[in-house]
Amino acid sequence: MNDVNEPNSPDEKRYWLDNPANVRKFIRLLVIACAVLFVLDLLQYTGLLDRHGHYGVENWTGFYSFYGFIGCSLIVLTARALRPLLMRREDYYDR
Amino acid sequence: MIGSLHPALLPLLGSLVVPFLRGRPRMAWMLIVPAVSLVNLLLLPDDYKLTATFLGFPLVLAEMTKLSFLFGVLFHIALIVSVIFALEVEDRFQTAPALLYPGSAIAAVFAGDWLTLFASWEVLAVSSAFFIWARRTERAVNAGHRYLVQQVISGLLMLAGVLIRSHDGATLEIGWFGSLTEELSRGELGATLILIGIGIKCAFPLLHTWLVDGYPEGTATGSVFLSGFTTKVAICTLVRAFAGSEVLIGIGAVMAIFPIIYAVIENCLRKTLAYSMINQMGFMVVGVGLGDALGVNGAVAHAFNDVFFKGLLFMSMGAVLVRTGKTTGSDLGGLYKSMPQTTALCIVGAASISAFPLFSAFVSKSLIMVSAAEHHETLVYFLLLLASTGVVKHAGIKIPFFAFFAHDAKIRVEEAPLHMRIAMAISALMCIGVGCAYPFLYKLLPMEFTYGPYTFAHILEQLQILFFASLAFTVLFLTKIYPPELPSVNLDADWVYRKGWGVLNAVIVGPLDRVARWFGELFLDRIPGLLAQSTPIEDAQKKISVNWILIAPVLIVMLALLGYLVLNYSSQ
Repeated sequence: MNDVNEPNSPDEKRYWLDNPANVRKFIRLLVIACAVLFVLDLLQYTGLLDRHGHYGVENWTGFYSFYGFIGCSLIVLTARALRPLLMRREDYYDR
Repeated sequence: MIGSLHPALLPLLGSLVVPFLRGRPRMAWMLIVPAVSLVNLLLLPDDYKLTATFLGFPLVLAEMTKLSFLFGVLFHIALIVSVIFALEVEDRFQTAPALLYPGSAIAAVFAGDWLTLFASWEVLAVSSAFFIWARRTERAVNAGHRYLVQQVISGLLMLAGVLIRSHDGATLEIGWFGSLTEELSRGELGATLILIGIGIKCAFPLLHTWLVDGYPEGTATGSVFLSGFTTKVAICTLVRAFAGSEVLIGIGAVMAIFPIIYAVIENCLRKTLAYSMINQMGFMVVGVGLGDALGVNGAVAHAFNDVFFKGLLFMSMGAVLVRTGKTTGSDLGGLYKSMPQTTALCIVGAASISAFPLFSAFVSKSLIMVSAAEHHETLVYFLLLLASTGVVKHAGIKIPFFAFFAHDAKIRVEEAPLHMRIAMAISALMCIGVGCAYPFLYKLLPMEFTYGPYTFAHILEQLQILFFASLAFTVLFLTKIYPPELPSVNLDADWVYRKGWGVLNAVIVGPLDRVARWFGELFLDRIPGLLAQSTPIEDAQKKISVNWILIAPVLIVMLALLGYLVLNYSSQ
């Protein structure tokens, strides 16, 4: 708190992530990684990937990809829907 | 002498000296004592057992088993790391309990009987509250009181259960593996009370509020201490008393799921970590409930790892608190520019808790998952899988993202102090070390088992979960569907005792009071007034209603006695 410099001082170093193009590059990498991971599921038909899920559904192509995406979205959407019910002013308990 | 002492003796005795030391001698003392104590523990023989008698009760002050050894070593390392993190704190409110609190945790996991455990349990409770009070704000002091009351109740419930059991002829011995599981399944009162007592410390749903209320109010360094010991003592005790109790499977699954929802919308990042801790405890409680070698080992291994990754995350947020004075997501952002090393270390903690391959949770959480599947707990298995995607989001991404990246809040501060970075680096090494060299941890686990976490399928599936959950976060964030960080608090079960009194007052006490006043007026005012054929003056009315408050309880007791007498006679 003591060492707050003048924000946006002209001599301040510009960081890699300050450039929106780099942020886009980062997101593109994430999408590519997801695509590669999804495609790797197909290896189970070549015998290179030995799957032994306890439930049949786990061996479906893309099951974990969908579960990760949909599970995470579901949690965020539930939390978003519950927010009006749960959220109070910051000093709620102090009053 | 070293190699024969009670494993908690040195930290407990050493803590007595700490308040009299300052500066470098204090720092040296607080590092040397746990280091020597760790050597003592490592040199103790495998059959070490220390017994005593107290008021005719045979006590086992310490017993060496695989379980107590593992937790003993864990607590010593955690103690040393926490002391390094808090090295420059001179406040006696925090230095005095810094050895006492971990010392009592060590005493608790080595205790062989319930009375010794109870004593350690209560010292643990009282000494830990100082880390919250030490913040000295009104909020923190109040939170510390609420925290301590619940911690003490936890111990008292446990003691009540122990006394009921020993009244029924049971011994005071705790045992080392699910000793009360059968009594609990028969629904016996003693075992049930003990479960609730341990359950408070384990943060069972609805009993969890002390954790999310207390831990975020602790000092920057105090919360690091708190995160390492209390809940892990609880898990160790849960294994010893209730391994294999089926009720724990359901409780654990609820614990793994509900905090995630809160973590998404919580603004305070340390409170987010507190919710995240309940979520991780949920996995462990499921593992204990499953009760087989994989489940119990998974719970113990995950508790071991949690000390380091959750400690690391609490440390990174503590460092942020020290430097910026805040931990609220709405006020932070862009800190990677001024605290790049803290950022990197925080990301290691985030990767570990998310169970990234080569990081620690990957080798421990999967034990519990496999055990759940082998028990055909289908619903629990898929709920835990859902919880795993939630961990990626709320701890793996949210904590580093909103503190160090996101919208640049233009806060420019210094990097965290060197000793804090060293403490974080040791924890980060533990996270990566366990993730890579997992056989070292597996060998220390209490039960015989074989499992290899690094199969192609397991790595691929975990990476898919991690990356697609990250993708979901990115999509939701960019489309602004993701709920923004807002200055706010969210209602939780602690509302019952923090605000509920007001409602209780309005709904029950208020109307009762009005009825009582009406009766008071009727009997002491109106009827005598009617009899005297005169109207009472206002002053007298006030006086009477005050008197009534004093008289009412007496009347109620008399009526109750009368009712009792009538019932008693009529039944004869």
